[in-house]
Amino acid sequence: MEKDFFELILQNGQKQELKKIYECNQYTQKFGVKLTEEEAVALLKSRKENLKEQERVEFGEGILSKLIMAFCDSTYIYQDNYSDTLACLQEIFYLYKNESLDELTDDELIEFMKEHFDGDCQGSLEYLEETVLESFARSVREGSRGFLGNYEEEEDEF
Amino acid sequence: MNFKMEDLIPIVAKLTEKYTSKESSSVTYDTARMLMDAVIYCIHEGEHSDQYNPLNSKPFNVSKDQKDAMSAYELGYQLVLQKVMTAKELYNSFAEEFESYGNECYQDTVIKGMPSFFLYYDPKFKPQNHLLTLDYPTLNSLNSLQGIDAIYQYLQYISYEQTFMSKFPYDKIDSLLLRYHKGYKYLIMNLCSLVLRNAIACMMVHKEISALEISRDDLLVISGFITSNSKESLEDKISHLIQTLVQYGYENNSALYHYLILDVKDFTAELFHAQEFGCLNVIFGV
Repeated sequence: MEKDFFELILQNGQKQELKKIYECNQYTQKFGVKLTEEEAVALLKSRKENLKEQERVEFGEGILSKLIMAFCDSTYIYQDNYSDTLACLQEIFYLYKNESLDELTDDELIEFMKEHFDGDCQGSLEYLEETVLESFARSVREGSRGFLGNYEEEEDEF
Repeated sequence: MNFKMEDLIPIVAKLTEKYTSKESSSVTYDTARMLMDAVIYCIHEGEHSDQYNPLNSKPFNVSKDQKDAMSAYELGYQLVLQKVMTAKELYNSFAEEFESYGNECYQDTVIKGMPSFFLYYDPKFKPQNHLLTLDYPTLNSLNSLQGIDAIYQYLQYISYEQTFMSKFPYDKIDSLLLRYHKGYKYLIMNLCSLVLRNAIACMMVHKEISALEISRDDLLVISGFITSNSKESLEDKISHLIQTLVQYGYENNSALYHYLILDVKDFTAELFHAQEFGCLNVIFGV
């Protein structure tokens, strides 16, 4: 019964999510990137798999459109790698929502990811996931490093 | 009233939004489960509201045709809030005069533990979690009760016990407890049961009830009482004695009576066993 419950939640809002992603294309094409219908559907499919893997549920609007709006202007993202990069970012996002024990809001995590993806990670998703975010999540769990919502300590070791 | 999962998901979704302050688009399975349980608890509370008779409160106008799950949830949530307030009033009505007779478990559970419940209970996101372990055993277990239902029922039981025991002199109860077990202060035991059983024993041997003390000679009389009755008839007679006690000593307090007779079955069984093994003195602290 519990499996049905989570399945039911995932099914809800699928169409609205697709529409929202298409609407993002109008903004992102300014930066030379946009998603095709197949790519959008594939991203939603991988979203479903990521959520299952991370044992999370989304009731309303998903995180994908926020990720698109945040990362579309990155200098390390272009049309050829756009869809794959978004898929990885989505996976990383859900992973680190869990790793940070839900202590971070969506905006905080996305902001951190974007800042470091464009910064010291220089577009490397692997470095972002396995080094930068790993360290960050550990310090969030410890409650150290003075992470205070939208503010960070002046001395940023990242 | 049975609602389908599809009816409950929008309610859980709304509750999740509040839980995350709209700052997170997703939550873990555990959180979703917890919030679903919260919704079900409130709906259940609303469905059984006609069984609930809060102190000094008007009865709710519950529509049995409450088809809308959201309305059922909202009604139930308001009932939960009201029940918390009523429970607090009930607690305050006896807390100041509360007597633990030196028993640490009784003191810790009621005086130390209960205020924490009122401080930390979360009626919105975790109404099903009553937080406390309620170590002090009452005459009846709380069975499957959860959340504020469990606490309210527990507080009612404690208030009945306090009402019952307060009529006896403190020193008599103190002596009885010490005779029963020198280390009673550290035992996890129901004090009311011991007092009640000794009061009933005094009634059986026609002694002053408030003395709460019977002698070895009295045990012979009680033994005769046991042997001349079957288990069922002894249960009836003890129930009748409790009824008489409550009628004359407690203004025929029906709720108190129904609480005290919960001990009759166990009391009767223990009497028969004690009779069989020659240890009636242990039951009465002789």
